[in-house]
Amino acid sequence: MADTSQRSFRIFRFNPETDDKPYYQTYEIEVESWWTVLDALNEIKWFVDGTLSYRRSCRHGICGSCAMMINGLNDLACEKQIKLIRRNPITIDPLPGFEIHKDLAVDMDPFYKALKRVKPWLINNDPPPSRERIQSPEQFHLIGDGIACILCAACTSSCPSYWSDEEYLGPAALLKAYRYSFDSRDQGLGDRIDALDNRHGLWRCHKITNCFHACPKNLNPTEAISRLQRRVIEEKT
Amino acid sequence: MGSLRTRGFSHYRWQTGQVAWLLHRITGLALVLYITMHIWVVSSLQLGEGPFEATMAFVQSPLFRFLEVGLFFCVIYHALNGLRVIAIDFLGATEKHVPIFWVLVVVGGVLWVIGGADMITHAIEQMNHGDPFFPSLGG
Repeated sequence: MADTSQRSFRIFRFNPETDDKPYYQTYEIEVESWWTVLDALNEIKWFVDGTLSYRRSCRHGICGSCAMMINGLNDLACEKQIKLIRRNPITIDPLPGFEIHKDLAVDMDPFYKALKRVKPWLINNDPPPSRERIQSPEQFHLIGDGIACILCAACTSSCPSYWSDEEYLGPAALLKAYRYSFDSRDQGLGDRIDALDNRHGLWRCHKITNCFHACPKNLNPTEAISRLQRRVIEEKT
Repeated sequence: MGSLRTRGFSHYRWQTGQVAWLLHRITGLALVLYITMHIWVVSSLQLGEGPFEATMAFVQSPLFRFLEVGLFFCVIYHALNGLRVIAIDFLGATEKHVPIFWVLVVVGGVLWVIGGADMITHAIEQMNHGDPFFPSLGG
């Protein structure tokens, strides 16, 4: 026996080519007990309304494509179990703070540009060793969070500092800056400091912690930003 | 039309950290306003005793006595939440910041009620009988 239930999805709709204003469209569908929000979106797109736009790819929480605002909080649609959501209808909005391409698909360019500003790659001017650069488990654990980040933008898009300053690097880029600057093999903090040490960088963070709560991978960008702030102060003194 | 974006402040759910931050900003601005006023009041001393007494009489009025209860709230909130932010920054307390917030709400609430009750009692006494601390200004 299939274990199904009737759920409503109130979804943000906006097509900049035809709509003057965004609006919400409600879809009533039958959902299976094991469905995630992404399964429901697929059901709507494939069988009810093919004009609905959203991003998706891997559908198991590692590509970061389907981050969106579900009942007022950012999350991955593919990780959000519908049966654990009590509210009905379930309201789905695009990630806040980003320009809307169509419906739930937003323009991620500012997010990637911010990421690029912190030079998220290994900077080491020593001649490359003949084998890999060895790290101890402790050295690895220090940067594990930043490595596990899937760049879904749930954190940056949940940040009030980012909502009020589009130039702000945001928690995701700062977590990556932390991940490389605290890497025992990296020497690049000096190269990153110009991007970090200004009013659109590290100091825009007010420890609101929305990023920490939004992260679908349970990472802690707030803590990374605090540590990086201390490191930059040490670097300058 | 291309510049439309979802407004975070109106659409995103207000969680503890965001409420704490907004109150911190509001109480911080209130304290800046208070300190500016305080400097203005004290600066009237340079005009002599008369203007100073007049300014003091103005800010010792019952209205300001009640406003001081609000000022007391701002001081308590800003100081205690400041400790919470320091704990997040220096003690790695991000994961515990919500229970920390509520413990501080209780501590601050008790302080505010005890101190505020005293201040309101004092203001009411001043309204009824003249100010025991500033008899020359009262009644």
